Formats: sequence, C-alpha cells, structure tokens
Amino acid sequence: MNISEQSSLMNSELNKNINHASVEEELKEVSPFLASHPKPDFTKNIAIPDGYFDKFPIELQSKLPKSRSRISIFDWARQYLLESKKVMAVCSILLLLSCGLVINHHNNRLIETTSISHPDIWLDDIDEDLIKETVNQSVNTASIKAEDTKKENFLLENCSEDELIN
Amino acid sequence: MSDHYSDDELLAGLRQKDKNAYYFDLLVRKYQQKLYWMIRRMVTDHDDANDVLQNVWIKVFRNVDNFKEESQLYTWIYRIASNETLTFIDKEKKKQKVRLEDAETAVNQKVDSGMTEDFGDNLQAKLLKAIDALPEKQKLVFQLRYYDEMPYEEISKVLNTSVGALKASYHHAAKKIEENIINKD
Repeated sequence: MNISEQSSLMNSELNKNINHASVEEELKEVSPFLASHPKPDFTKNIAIPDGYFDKFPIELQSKLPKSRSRISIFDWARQYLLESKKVMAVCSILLLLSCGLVINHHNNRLIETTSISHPDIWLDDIDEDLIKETVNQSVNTASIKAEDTKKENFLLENCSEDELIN
Repeated sequence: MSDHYSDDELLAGLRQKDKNAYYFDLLVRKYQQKLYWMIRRMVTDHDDANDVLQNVWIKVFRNVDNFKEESQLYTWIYRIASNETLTFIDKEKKKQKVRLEDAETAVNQKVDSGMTEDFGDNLQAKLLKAIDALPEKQKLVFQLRYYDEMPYEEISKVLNTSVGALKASYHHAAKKIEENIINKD
C-alpha cells in the first residue's frame, strides 16, 4: 500500500471514529435508556446458512444478464424523458405563451370588427331603399305573428279538445 | 481482498468491458454483508432477504454504466437496496400475508424463529421487537443511523429525504422504542 492509499485509509478511519462519537452523543441526548444498553448484535443471533456469503457471489453470477449494454425500449424512453425534462418544460411554457398570444390577438380582432361608434357611421352612405325594405320585412313578420296568435286564440276558445287533437 | 480496492477503483474496473465481471465480483464481496444485514433487519426472513439482495445486485450490474457519480458508489448501492426492500415489503403487504391485527404476533414469531439462541438479556429481544414494530420507512432510518451509523447527509441521499426530516424521524423512533420497552416491563 503506498503513502496516498495509507493516508486515505487513515482519513476514512478517522471519519468513522468521529461519526461514531457523534452518533453516540446524539443517542445519549435523545434516549439515555437506549444509549445505556448495548446494541443487539444481529449477526450473532440471527440464523443464516453456513457459507452463505462465500456462495452468494457465485450463485449471483449465474443470474446476471448476459449483456449489460442492452437496455429495454422502456428504459431508453424513460432515460430520454428524464434527460429532456428541462427541454420539455421550456417547450411547454413557450407553447402556453404562444397560445395566449394567439387567443389575445383573435379577441382583439373581434373587438375591432364589432365595435362601431356613432362617429364612424356615415349616414349618407346608407341606402334608403335598403332601410325601407328592412323595416317592411320586420312589420310583415310582426303582423304574421299577430295573425297566428289570433288564429290560435280562436281555435282554443271554439274547438273541443278532440277536434284540436284530430 | 475486495476491501483493498477503493470504490473509485472498483467503478473504473466495472466500466472496462473485459474485466467488469471480475470487478463486479469484488464489489459484491465488499458490500454483500452490510447490505444483507440491512435488508435482513427489515424483512426478518433469510429467503426474502436473499431474494431482495439478488435483485439489488442485478440492478446495480444493469445500471452501473448510468451511475453519474453525484454521490458515493456505496450510497448509490444503498439507495437501490432501500428502494428494493421497501418495494418488497409493500408487495408483501398487498399480498395480505399478514392481517393487521396479527401483525404484532407475526413480527414476534419471525424475530423469535430467526434466533439461534436465546438472548442472555431479555431486554435485547424486547429491543429488537420494538424496532421491528416501527413503520417501515422510520425503521429503515433508525437502522441506518443506529446500526450502520451512517451520517445524515448520506442517509438523505439514500432515502431522498431532507436531513431535518431524518433527524426528526430518528429521534421520534428512539423515543417510541424506549416507551415501548419501558411500558412492557
């Protein structure tokens, strides 16, 4: 073992000891009861098959996939989506902004076309014959409606229910 | 022998096409015991722990090329192990192997059946049962801190939970265990 490896190992051991001390200190503060009793040693009191840890790596080898380079389409898609999350977020924001602008522009156009103020109307440009025709049409419509109403009332007053149905 | 290699050396070896099986074997031998006991404390049955441990290593093998080195290698492996363990426990719960009202009895039976000898100190058995009665994620936090003495910053990367939440969970778990043992005396 060279000097840098030894130094690295010593640092690791030092960090472990510091960490152990802080864990002990914390436990004393949180639960003096637990801190005063030894930790149950699982490794001594739990049954495992003999030689388990010697055999495990060998048995594991037979269960490993043949090739590590092959990944499923699902894994590829998931990875691609995860990596492109930021791009998708930016695109979504841009799309929303664009939709907002288009809707706003469309609304503005509608307002422009439908809003007419008095000063904009040039009465001289309107055809008088067209006005007369429009008025006559509305009068005729009103009179037809009135006549229909009269007929209905006459029928209701003078005919029986059976006659109305038949 | 595997302990002589640092995680960086093992990772570099794993990424070589012709030697990755050899370095993977070294990696397994380096961490298998730690992982096994972490899993075993959670699932309490050897066969279940063995299955979970195999799944963990298969996932490590498949995904080591995608490991981005944002954390330590062993933190990443622990994270896979924690997720696999919690997933396994959730699946078992869904299978309804143990009804809720029988859960405590089953837990006690499992703990007792795993023992090779009686604990000389009955308190140790009570302590194990009290730990086993914790909710799964809290139990995992407690075990990583109490048994493995993992720093909170590393547990945070393993479980993807804030340090503050982990401290609160651990402190609460310790108090619960203490009350559980004292009340049963």
